[in-house]
Amino acid sequence: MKLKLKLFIFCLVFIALVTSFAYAKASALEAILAFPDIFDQREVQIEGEAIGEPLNDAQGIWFNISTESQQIGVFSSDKSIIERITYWGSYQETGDQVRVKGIFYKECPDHQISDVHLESLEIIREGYINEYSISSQKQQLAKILSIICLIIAFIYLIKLKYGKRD
Amino acid sequence: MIISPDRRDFSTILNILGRLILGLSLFMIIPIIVALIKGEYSPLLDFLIGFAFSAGLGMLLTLIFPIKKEASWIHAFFIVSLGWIVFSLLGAIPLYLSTHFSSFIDAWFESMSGFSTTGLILIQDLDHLSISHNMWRHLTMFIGGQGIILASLSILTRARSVALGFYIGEARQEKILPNVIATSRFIWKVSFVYLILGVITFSTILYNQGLSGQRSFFHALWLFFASFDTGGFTPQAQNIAYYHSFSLEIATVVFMILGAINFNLHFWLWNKSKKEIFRNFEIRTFFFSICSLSLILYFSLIKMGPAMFRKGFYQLISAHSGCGFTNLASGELNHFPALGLLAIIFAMMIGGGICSTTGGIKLMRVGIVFKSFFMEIKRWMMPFRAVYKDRFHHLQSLVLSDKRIKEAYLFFFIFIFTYAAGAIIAMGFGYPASEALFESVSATANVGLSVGITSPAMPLVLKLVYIFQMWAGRLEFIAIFVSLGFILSLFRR
Repeated sequence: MKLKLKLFIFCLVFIALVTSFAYAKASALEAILAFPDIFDQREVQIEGEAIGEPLNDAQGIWFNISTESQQIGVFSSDKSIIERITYWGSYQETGDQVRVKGIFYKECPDHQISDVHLESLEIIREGYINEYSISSQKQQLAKILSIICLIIAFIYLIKLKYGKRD
Repeated sequence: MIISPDRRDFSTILNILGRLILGLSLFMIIPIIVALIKGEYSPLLDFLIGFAFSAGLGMLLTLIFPIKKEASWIHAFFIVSLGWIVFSLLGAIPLYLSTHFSSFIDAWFESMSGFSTTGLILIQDLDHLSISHNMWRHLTMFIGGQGIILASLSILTRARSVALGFYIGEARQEKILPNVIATSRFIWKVSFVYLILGVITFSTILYNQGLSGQRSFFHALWLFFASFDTGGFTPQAQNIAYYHSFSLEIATVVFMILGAINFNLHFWLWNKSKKEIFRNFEIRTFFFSICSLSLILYFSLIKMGPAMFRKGFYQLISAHSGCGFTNLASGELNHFPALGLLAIIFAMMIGGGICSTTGGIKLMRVGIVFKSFFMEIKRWMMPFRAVYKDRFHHLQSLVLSDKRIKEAYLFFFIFIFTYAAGAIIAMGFGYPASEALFESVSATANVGLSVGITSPAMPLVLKLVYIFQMWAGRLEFIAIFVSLGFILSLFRR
């Protein structure tokens, strides 16, 4: 009996911790998606990078945000809100870091998928254009391999033209 | 008598393999052009290194090892088995250089997943991957789906004497046209017609959604490769869920099903009778299987309400066609009830048509296994001396012969054994049984749906097991068994 009581208290503390963690720390998308039943139809706050581009919908607009390991779609009925985001995460750009406050739906009644309906959007940190430096080792390797390949190709073509056919 | 190989056999094998590697390297020119156009100079170097290494190796093998023997089927089977390993390793070079993988094994896993049209991924930070690397990832599915060897054979005009061996080695049992090269070209022709249709459809939907013209085109092209070749890669980490488009999901369902249909049936519908679609044994099995699994899924997901159709039905079609697209959030499959998960596992196990880009046991074999079961019951109910043979319709009326039944059961049990073996290994690493089975079936049947086991953090041994399962599942084991016998006969001499 004592063991059962301890187990019950432990479960209560665990759920309380998970819930409070998710509400206290903004970027808890991992917790939301791991325990969707707890957060279903409740207000959540998520921090992440705006990725890709805004996507049109008949009733509003979609955008996706990505944390370190998870991503989710955010729906807003106000299309103009998107204009606040300057950079969208892609190969060329690191997207704006945004803080999204909204209602999480495990099974959204409007869209039949898991999503967040936006209430407020805040830009925490503006993104930037990515600059890629080309590694000198990679350049050297490409040069050496290209020269070797050209030499082999030269021998190959000579053999193809003058050699005995298989 | 078992043919025992000698040095001349290996010289012939390596010569043909060299030519095929050369063929593969030519495909790397496509991402090189894309990188040049898009000004992606670091990725450009990745592909130059990959191209120079592959082309150099291909030519070197051809130069050093001349053809010393008439190539036979056994050579073809060995080349197919070895070829897929070598191609996936070479295909992994530019991926690894992208720095989006934590190790070369991870890049090899991704490459094998692409070539075998599986769709399981270990790439990190996919949303920031270059266009040229994404082009290569998706191109591997197109090349692999059509058959790497046949793809190379379509480019290179020599080494055709064993074309039928290559064709069967790459898990295609049926020839469409009398000549295998003509068959492979027909497959390419069909694919290119659907490619145009697919790109127009997808890019129109994506453009209307707000993607720029160029981005719509690239995404449409990649989504076509992934859906028609039942690969399942997408350029965004959220997979199909990224687009939030119901019309796109419907369009992908159409192309997934088209990809899962036997190419022979495509030929029949294009050139002969349209009525075949209603009589075909594979289509009937597909219809029966989809209906019964949908029913199971319906009862297991009934609590979801209307979301059940978008969430459940899409995963079912994706699993059955072996595509692996998903519109679910990451890890959401884990929250499916056990019965729903089981329905999806069954769909993955069965797969699509023979001579299609899908993996799994295949509809024809599952249909034959069931039909033979009922035939046996009928036989027991008949008089002792009665001779009874059941028939089925696949392009023509066919007798359900003992040879067909034996072949179907053989493949059925090899696949079931591999599904179970992969699951047991994963369970050994501490994963729960249902998740271990799901992932093992997904890898072997070349589907690509995941319950979360597949990640860069998973054990190295499990990565290697899944690479093996993807390879063996794509080639349907026979070419691999013949190759193993070929190697073992060396030691018996």
